Amino acid sequence: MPVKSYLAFSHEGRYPHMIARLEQCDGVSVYPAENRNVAVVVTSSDDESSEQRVKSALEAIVDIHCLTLVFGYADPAPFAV
Amino acid sequence: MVSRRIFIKNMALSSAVVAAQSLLPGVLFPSASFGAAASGLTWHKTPCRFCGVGCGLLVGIDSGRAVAVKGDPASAVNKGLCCVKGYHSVQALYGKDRLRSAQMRKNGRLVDVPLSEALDAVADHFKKTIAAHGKDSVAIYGSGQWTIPDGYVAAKLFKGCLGTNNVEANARLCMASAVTGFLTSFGLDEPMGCYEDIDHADVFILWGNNMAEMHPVLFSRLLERRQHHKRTLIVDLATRTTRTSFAADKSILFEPQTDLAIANCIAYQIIKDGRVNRSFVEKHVAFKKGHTDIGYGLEDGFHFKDEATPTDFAGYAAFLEDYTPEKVASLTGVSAADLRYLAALYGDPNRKVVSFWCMGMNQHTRGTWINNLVYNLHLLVGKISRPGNGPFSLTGQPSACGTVREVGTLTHKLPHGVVMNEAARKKAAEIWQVPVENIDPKPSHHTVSMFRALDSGAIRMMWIQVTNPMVTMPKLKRYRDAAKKEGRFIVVSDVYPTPTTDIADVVLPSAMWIEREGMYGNSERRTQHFQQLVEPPGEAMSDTLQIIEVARRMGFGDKFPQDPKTHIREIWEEYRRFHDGPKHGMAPYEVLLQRPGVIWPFHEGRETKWRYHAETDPAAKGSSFDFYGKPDHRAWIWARPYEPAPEVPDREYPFWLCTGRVLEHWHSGSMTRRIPVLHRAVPEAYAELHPDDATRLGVRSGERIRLVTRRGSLEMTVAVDQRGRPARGHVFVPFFDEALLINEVTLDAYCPISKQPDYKKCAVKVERV
Ligand code: SF4
Repeated sequence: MPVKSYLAFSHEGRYPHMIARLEQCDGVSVYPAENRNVAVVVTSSDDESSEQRVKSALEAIVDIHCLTLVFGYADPAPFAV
Repeated sequence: MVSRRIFIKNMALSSAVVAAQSLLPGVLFPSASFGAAASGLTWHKTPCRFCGVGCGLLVGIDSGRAVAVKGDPASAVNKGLCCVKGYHSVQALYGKDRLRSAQMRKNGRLVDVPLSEALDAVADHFKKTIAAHGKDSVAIYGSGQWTIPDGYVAAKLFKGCLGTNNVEANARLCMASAVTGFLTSFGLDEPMGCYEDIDHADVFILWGNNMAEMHPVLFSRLLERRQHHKRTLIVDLATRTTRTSFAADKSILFEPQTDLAIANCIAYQIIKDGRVNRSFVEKHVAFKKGHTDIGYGLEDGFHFKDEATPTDFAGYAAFLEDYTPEKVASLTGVSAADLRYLAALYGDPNRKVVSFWCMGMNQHTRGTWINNLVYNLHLLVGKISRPGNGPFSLTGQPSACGTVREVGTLTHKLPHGVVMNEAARKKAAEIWQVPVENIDPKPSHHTVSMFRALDSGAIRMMWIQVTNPMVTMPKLKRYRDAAKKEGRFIVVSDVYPTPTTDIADVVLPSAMWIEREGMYGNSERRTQHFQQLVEPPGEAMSDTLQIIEVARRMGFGDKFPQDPKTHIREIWEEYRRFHDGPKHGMAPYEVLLQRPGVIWPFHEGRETKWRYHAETDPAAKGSSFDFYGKPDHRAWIWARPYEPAPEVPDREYPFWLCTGRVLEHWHSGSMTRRIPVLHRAVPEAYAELHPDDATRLGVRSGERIRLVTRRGSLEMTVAVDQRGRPARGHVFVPFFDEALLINEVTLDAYCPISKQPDYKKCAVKVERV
């Protein structure tokens, strides 16, 4: 159950486009700031492979200038000894 | 009932909101339940296990396991941010092949044995080796990933009790030139400023430093500064186009080794443009020159000692006449216009400038010189030791500063001062309660020399902790063969099997990071404490306790009387006695417990963020700058020339070979390659080529080539324009992959002053397979 959160910054002038594209991604919740061009992005997936798909979808958004990882959670099970 | 997933998502959301608020004060988000906490998780502060940025992390513990990581919003280093390595760091604790038991080689094979038996064998072998071959036949080789207590007890046992200076650490391979650069220019090691400089600077000049991958959170802070301070400029000065180049405002490529000429040219142009801060230079700077044509350390027994000869401003200016932009442009490949542009940035009195560098300048056969030359630039214009102005040498490892440079786990060093200094020896002997005669006044072997001594037989037994030299030594085959020679005995403490444990006679399983208590010291002089948060697997034991256990078995129990429950506090308080006073005072243990790191000098309850200026540094005399590290209270500008690399491309070996790291992997990959997401991201090493070279050779990404140098050859996959782009005629290969050991072919040349090898330059032939 990987859960991650990021801060997303857009390229100059591309903020609304970035938000629109983020909102179309499966497994992604977007929380745009009310007074600055920054959004919190939270991703949640069932396993590592769907996590990888979410990650690829985010990387394909060309309007994103910088996506900074802030938080991550993964169940112990997938990498238990 | 709210599900566990929703709890965790809320926690992820609230962490990001807190991070945003510390980056962008006043930012507002729609109301949401930001404060919810996940059930069962408790959060604890720790510095990150990996790089020298030293981010503060909060690690979530659930049922005795570390399962979650977030950036600590209270940390002044990362303000709640975290990179992909830091976020996944806890998974490195749980790889399937974690070493849980000690091993000893019996009939040629490593077999599991009780830890106590292995510790007995190590102590016994040390005693026998010293009895047969003398005290200098044994050595310890540690790491910038040693915690501060690990390094401290190693230095005390070897230098204080056994009486040998055969103590080195892998930071010799990454930071030694920075140390000798600081010492020769300022008389004291480590940066004068701190990361807060980023919040005040207008211009960042990155000298051969791919910060976007190697110091990603600091690079985020640079980008954030640029977003909110429109005058900000980031200039990437490099030999290869990287992610940093793409994000920079200007990317300038130069020919390897010619950074020496570039720095001198910038100094020439600053003087020519009348941009010298005359009053600063007259009051606070002295001019020196040293020896030239100083060699490359390629011969066994190589020896070099530099000497400072006084010169003056006029002599220095005359020396720089060889470095006009036109002359330097043809040598370096940098246009005269760009060289003048760089000089204009450094010289502009209305811009604050920070220079950053790391391995590009340090892993350099003239590493000390290029460090000196960048200091020269800041000193000529007086942009130093003030918020937003300063040269800033970054470290690669989490405690290269804390453990190696501050504790002094290098052959010539003591926790305070050097072995050559009688007062320093007396102080160490008093604190360690050993006879002063125990401490040898002569340094013995630096790292390359130590492995050469293993080859010659002068060193017979070596204990290697928290490092993987059988991946990281240059010209690797020679030193692997040396370690495997008859009559050598190698002890390795580590957390996973590696090519270094492969050549060991005894393997000791180590407790890793938050499986024990410890401290790291990062690039900005910040000491960070971490508690034990989880149990180590099997019989794994901290490196500190391993050394104490061996010391006791060798009869030094009275020097190591610490209680296992409180030993880290006891060691810290003993170590602090070396650093009393306003120049290097360290915070008490209780203060470290409370705060997400403390910058030293810590004096009368306050951190010293900028050294050498009376407004910010209690050790500085007078009302402005005081470079008190030097007896004349001046910083030294050095006249250091350009000299070529020892091996340059020729008809037979026509390419430059440069090695380095990638964002996802930590050094030799022994931890990060066991983290599935990081391993999948970059599963194996590759050779980057310029697209024109790839076309000429008839190869495309994914196809195989053979790299051949005078030391050997290896085959690997080509990568064209996938992450970085080398210049034409250059090859770049990351070194994290133990299955593709690029150091089989690198050269063991080093800076004759710092003794740090140059992993960035040798000549290579590229063949299509
Ligand atoms: S930037 Fe370095 S210290 Fe910070 S999280 Fe990444 S690896 Fe760890």
